[in-house]
Amino acid sequence: MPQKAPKFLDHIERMAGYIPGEQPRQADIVKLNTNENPYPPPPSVLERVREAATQDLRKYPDAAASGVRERLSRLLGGSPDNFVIGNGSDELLNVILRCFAGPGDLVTFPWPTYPYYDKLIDLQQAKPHPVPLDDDFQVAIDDLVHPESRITLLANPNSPTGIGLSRESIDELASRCSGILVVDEAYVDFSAGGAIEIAQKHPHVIVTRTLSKSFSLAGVRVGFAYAHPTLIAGLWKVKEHYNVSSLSQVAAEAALDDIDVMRVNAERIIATRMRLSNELRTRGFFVWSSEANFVLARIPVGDAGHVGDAQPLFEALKERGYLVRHYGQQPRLSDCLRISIGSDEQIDGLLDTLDHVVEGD
Amino acid sequence: MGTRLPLTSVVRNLPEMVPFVGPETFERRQGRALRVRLGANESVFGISPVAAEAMSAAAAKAWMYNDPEAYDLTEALAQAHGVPQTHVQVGAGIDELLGLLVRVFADVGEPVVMSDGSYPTFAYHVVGHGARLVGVDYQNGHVDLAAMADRARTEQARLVYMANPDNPMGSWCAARQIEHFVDAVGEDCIVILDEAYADFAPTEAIVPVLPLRPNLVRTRTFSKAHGMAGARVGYLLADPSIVEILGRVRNQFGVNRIAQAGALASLSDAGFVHRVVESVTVGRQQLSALAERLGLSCLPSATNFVNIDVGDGERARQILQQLLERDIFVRMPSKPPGDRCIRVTIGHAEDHEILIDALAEILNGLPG
Repeated sequence: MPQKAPKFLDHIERMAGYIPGEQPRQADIVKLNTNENPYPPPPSVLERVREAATQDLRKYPDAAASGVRERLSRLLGGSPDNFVIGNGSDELLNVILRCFAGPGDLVTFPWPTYPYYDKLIDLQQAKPHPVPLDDDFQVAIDDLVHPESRITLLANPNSPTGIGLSRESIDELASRCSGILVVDEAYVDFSAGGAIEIAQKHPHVIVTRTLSKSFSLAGVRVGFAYAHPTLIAGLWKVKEHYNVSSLSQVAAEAALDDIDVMRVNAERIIATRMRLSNELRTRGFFVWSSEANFVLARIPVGDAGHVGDAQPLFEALKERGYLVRHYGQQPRLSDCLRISIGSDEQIDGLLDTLDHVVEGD
Repeated sequence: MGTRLPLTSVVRNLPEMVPFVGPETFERRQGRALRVRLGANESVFGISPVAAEAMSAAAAKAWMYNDPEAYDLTEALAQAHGVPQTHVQVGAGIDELLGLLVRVFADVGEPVVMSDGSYPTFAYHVVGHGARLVGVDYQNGHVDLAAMADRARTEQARLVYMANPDNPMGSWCAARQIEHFVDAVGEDCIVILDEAYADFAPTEAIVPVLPLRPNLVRTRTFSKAHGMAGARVGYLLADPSIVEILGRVRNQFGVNRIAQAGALASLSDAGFVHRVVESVTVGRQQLSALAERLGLSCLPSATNFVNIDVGDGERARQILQQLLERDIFVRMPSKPPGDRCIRVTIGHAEDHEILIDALAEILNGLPG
């Protein structure tokens, strides 16, 4: 009987996997590492999911996710044909890369940003063109415009910085960039931004969003893309038929029907974000001005003025039950922590713990 | 702007297919609900009450990301099959796993072998990734394993697909023949053995899980006997090197939190699945008997659907259309030899009766 290892395609064999943020298995840890929403979705979500998790679950989901698309078009403009729904926006990014970036094609994106982009580019054997953020972690539009680029990926607000790019700048980028411009708006509801109007003007712009963050539905997996119907029809050609479960569709419908709950939650998170930012600054951290549901904070420079490493602080917080995000020895980020905005109580606890750690308690 | 879309060559060359048409789309077109929905091989017997309860509880934690490793479910599946966890990969339905397998094993232009007319979604993935579909004819309504192996060798294919029991034919091959086939294609060729309908098959059709063969990948689903098609949960059993590589390319959070909880609970309710399988067996006999009363024969089936032979493809298409006009949704195999049949999912007795009555009416109106 043969026992030889299976032979994978070379580029698959070579590529590294994406490592998602840690999902700890112990229940008592305060998770401030993957930008989940501390406030629950509307109770109607629970009711609708309970109804769906009965005998009707035997049916395959609606392949078109029509209920979700209709609601989105009512809330955000356009028609249902402007929308496609994905198993998280991750799936849609994957579909977009498959549609527009083949082997050797250039894909441009600011760096650092959402690390998943890199993986999707590898998977397509496309050529990544990371453009470093400037010294203040701002996106430099001029550098982002490349005549051979097939796709430009712009997370806005960006992660892990939380910094948003103005609508005027995105409009300018849309006018100047070649190929497709994807504006990944996972965190848009915590900002004053939003590029859907720009996508209405430019048929090569795709806006992606998710219900994971502002809508408190990370575990349910619903993302969507807005673009010109021709472009949406192209994405439709390669997506999984039954990509969004019935449970996810009804949860999304309920959350969209009760959108005020999301808005109130987002307001609370924005208020807490401002408070956390100020508290950290008082403690000597440098905190970038965030438009997302997290902040990026550089730890105080030590007495000797050496470049800091946030790893020990990350570990100390984790030991005391607070999990935040550290990017290891990644250049420009090793002295930073990304902290998701939890409830006020969680953030108070984090600040107390931080004070204890600093005092060497 | 259609022609100006900067699509990759693979996507640009995709056939001008309409997006997949599901039963909901039919309903929207007709402007009313279906009366009988027996087209998608869904289980009319629903889900385990234990699963319903687990999903209800999991919904309260919807704000939290799901476990990207689906650890608990993977562990339970590993135990159920008597293999280490490293042999199991959970996915958002078999469909997602099939897409990933094509992506890691078949390059643009490379041949992928399957029975001509077998599971259309696998063919969709092959074409969607720019690989080349090589179809092998069925023989007497069965997957022709000898011809498939020959073709895989002459084409030097790295990937072959078979469903056992087969969809849409409903037929099955014996485990010993399949083992022989897996050896015959050679160690450089991966065999995808899609066992979506395995719960309904006789034991002789099921290849023992151990010893695991490095070039055999088996896919299973919670959509059929477990009745959870709407939740999108499937899994595969394979060599750890394959599981590891799929871990690099898969959608990390693809199986949502509620679905994971539901599948885990359903797995613990073996009595439920057993009762569903019994009901399906009874339903198959009942439906076949009703069809025979109309003078129609059914192909033997080891699945939760039955192919009713209506003579030829043209008649089958007409019947399908007229059934739909009566709000009865069934499907038909797309290619010969199956396309002389309409494919009917096993339903409740009353579903069968409505279908058969409508069928009798339609047949009366059709020429000889």
